[in-house]
Amino acid sequence: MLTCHTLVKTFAARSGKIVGLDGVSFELGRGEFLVIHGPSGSGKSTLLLTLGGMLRPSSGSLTLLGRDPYALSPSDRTRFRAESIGFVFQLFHLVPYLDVRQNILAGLPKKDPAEAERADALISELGLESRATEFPGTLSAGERQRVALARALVKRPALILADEPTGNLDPENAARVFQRLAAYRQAGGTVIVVTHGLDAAPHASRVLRLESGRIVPQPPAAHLL
Amino acid sequence: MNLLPLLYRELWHRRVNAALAVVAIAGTVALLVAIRMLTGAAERETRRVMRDIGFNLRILPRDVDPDRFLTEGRSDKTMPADAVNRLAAAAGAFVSFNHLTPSLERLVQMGGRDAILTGLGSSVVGPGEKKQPMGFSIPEGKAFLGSTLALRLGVKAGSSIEVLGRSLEVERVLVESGSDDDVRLFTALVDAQKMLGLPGRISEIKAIDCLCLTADQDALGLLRKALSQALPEAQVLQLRGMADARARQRQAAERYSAFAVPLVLLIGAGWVGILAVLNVRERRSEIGLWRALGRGSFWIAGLVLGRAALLGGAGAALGYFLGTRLALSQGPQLYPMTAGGFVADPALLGWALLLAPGFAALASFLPAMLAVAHDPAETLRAD
Repeated sequence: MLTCHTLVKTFAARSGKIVGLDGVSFELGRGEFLVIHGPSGSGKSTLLLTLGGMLRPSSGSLTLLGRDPYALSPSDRTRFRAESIGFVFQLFHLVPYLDVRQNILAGLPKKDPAEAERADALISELGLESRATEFPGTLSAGERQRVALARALVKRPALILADEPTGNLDPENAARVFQRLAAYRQAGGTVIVVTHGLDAAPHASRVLRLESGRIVPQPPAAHLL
Repeated sequence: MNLLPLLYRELWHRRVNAALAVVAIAGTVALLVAIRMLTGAAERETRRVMRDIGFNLRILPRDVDPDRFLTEGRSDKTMPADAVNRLAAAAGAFVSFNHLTPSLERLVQMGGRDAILTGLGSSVVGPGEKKQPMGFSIPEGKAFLGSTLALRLGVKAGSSIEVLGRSLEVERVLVESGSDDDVRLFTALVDAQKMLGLPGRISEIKAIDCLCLTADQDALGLLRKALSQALPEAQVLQLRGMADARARQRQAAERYSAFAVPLVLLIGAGWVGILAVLNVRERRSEIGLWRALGRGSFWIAGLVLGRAALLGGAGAALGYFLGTRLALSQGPQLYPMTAGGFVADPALLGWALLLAPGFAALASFLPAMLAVAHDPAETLRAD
């Protein structure tokens, strides 16, 4: 499903070169739920965007669904991303002038009546029926994240990449999001969640720790949980 | 989701920014429409003033001695009357000359002293032009008298006079001009030809120089070249003071337009461009999201440029009506001589609707490129 090998990502800064990723390597099989956790600034979001074909690594290799996204032309990479990957962000990134239903449909690369039906089903499943015609500005944080989750799920991508998806949520809403991601995994999907905490760990098939851009040995499970 | 409904929703969501952009475009279009209408009025007024000043070109038979002509003010040489039609028919003649007016002039004795008999033919203007005739249009059998000559003869409007054996009715006595027109008897060209026994002959063609070049730009050289091709049997004299005044007036109006129009466009484009940059900055995370959702560069550029084009269309319509209203309300006071010429020009609306969206899109081009080049990872990264 996904293989990355010695991924390095550096950023130029006034103070010199900043290393975001420092030789990250791992493999992920179809149907896995991978949690990557680490402190703030450890490179979690950088890794997630690199895996999602949105941030070209400085060096190293990435194979996703049998293809190297960065070997594709920009338009092919855009299409590949639209068809294969669903994103969920900590800051939700909903389109402010679209209502709940339109935001969910915005995740679809093409207009498809079947997918529109699925969007309605997700609205119902995620408890958003009464909010379907509301705009993001009127929603609570938990509702916004459920909309963002529905937008990622509606196109049934092979891989969902979630960046601190519960960072702005209360424990109840956070549990709801992870349960939905776990259900998605149960249905055959693959999920990578990056988070600074370990709330998602109970749902994970695997947990990796990232520190200063490197995968480091995982403490014993008992300490984690 | 299709781009157009998305654009409408975004415009409504950020309606203050959109309204400011429409105001910017409408202001630019309104100023341009008003400038265009007022410049047109200024040109009309200038033409009217210059026309009232009189002809500045005298086209004479080639065998007229300019030295003697200038000393005596006239010559007894003539040329065929159809010269005016041949000049009018020559290709490009109206690029250099206009208001071609044939005349026949001689000194005659009236009331025991010299008077100037001037027969005037109809003015010929360029093809498709609706210019009013220069000078007088005198019916056959009628006469216009200079004020001094009328006083000398003791006649007034309605009187009959006898000249060279022909009876003429005095149609008008002209106001005192302080020029030799005060001792002039104006008749129809055909009457003068009969009285003088010179049927089918004229002594000169009066005209206005259309080049509007000042003396340092050698207008006379160009006029002589044009005349030598169109009417080789003639020569041209230019009343340079009048021609220069006309040229300078016209050039001043053109310089004003050449300065004002780009300035207005620049200010308008700057304003629209700044608003577009602010809009793109405000939408950085949204643009990053569209990227993440798989939208390509053309689509993102369409999001910015399509918005600009819609605002441009709205601004064009509003600006046209504001500019027209401004010109129609203020123009007649500024240019009272040609106040009747102020009318709304629907063609300007067409141009505005055609050009303003393009102008707004052009002003938003840089912000659009910024949006396209924007790295979505910058705004989507939470770490």
